[in-house]
Amino acid sequence: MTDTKSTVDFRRTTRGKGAGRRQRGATSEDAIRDLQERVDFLTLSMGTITGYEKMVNLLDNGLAGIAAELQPLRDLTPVRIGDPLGEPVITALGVMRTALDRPDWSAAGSISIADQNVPFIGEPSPRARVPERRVVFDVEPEMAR
Amino acid sequence: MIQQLVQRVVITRGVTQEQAAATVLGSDPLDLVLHMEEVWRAANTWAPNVQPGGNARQALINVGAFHDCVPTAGPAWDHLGYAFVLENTRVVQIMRRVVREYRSGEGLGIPSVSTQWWLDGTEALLFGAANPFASWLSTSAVRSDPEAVRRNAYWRLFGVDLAFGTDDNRPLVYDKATAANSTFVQLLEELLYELWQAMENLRNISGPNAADDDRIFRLAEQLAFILRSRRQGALLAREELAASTALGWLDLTLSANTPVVSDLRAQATSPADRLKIIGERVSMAPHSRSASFFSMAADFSLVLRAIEAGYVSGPQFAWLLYSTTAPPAAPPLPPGARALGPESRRVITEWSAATGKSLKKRAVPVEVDGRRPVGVR
Repeated sequence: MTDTKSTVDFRRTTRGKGAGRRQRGATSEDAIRDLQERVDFLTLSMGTITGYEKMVNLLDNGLAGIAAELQPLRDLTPVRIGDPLGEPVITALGVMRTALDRPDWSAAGSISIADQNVPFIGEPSPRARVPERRVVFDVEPEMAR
Repeated sequence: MIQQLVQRVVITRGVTQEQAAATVLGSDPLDLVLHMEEVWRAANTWAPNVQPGGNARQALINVGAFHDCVPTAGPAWDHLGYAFVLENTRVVQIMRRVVREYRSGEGLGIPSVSTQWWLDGTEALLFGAANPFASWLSTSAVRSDPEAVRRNAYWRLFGVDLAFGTDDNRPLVYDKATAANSTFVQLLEELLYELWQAMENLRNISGPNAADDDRIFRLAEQLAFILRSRRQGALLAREELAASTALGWLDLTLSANTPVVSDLRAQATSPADRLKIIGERVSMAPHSRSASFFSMAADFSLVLRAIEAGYVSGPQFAWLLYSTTAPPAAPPLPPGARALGPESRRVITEWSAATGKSLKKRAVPVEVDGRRPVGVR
């Protein structure tokens, strides 16, 4: 696959252009030669680029051919049978998930309960609290019966 | 039940989960037990027979602190598997030492008021402290040790014992029932292997596909058979509720840096690390794979509930256990009824880590023949 024509010598271009600039008093023949060299260089570069494109096209076509040949193998993949769940199962699954739903503690930090300092028993202290009396029996009449 | 109670407090009262957890951890043990009774009554496991609990019990439930957090109709507590994997961390025995140390001296320091509330709750829920209602409704002089009752239930349902003995490493003596699901672990591990194969091939569109929906269905069906064989007449439901409540209490205790964790100077970023530090304080090491047990407990509960409920009633429904969505041709599941693929994946990962068995390589396959579908001893 090595193409000797595709080898580009960038130094030639530099030397040619520099030579044109350095020799201000050159003859028209020299100028024509210089231009000819540049045209040759451009032609060579175009040829190289065209060669690469050919290679890319070749690869493209090759891969497309392989893909087309492999396409029937898809039909050999076992078909996974999967039926939708029945409505009672969907309902039961939803109830189960709701019933077992829980908080996510993965990023939990601290759970603090604000405690006050406790005075000693019988200690006369402004911090000592009188326990509140609460009436908690608010049972519905029919339940209490 | 405890974690679910926290969630219901969050939803019902519109508070943060930290506030809800603080409410639950600082509540009267009687209120917790009354809510447990409410959950038990709402589940109505003996339906269509008469609902458990009479009017007197209901009247007391109505004055409990959490009577506004009404549980759903389904069993609002975790599967016994949740309690089993959590108890394998040795959290109960470590916390028993914590309670003993706090109640018998000041070696662990002076507990804060919040920690003293926690001690009250722990003694009532786990260690049989006298309470107007016993959380272990069925414990009595005949079976007085709650841990022995739990071990009996684990043995009957899963055919295995915990990974350790008594507090001082002697074998714990308890009533070992003759009818026990001795094939549970073998079937479960085979199912997890098949689920992993299916997950690996979920998006496979070329090459061999090792997913076997029919085998997944048969293994799930066998597991359902053996689990249900121990549950006839809603047997073990009460023990399951009590066990998941007790272990849920400790799960919540270690979920964050709660007051007792702070008092024990065991602040850390994961439940397993907190338990490890607490274990060091009371000279008892937890299970070396505690992190895996904590990580999979809730997911294990969901997967076992789904298997036992028989949702996978044919190979065409096997996807429920390994997929994240409904099959392409089926309508999408409603938001509350998600498939169980993520939970199964978590169980596969953590079960492998906890047991040291690779579930991604085939061991000796179990025999799935039609003559003895139920492996009962």
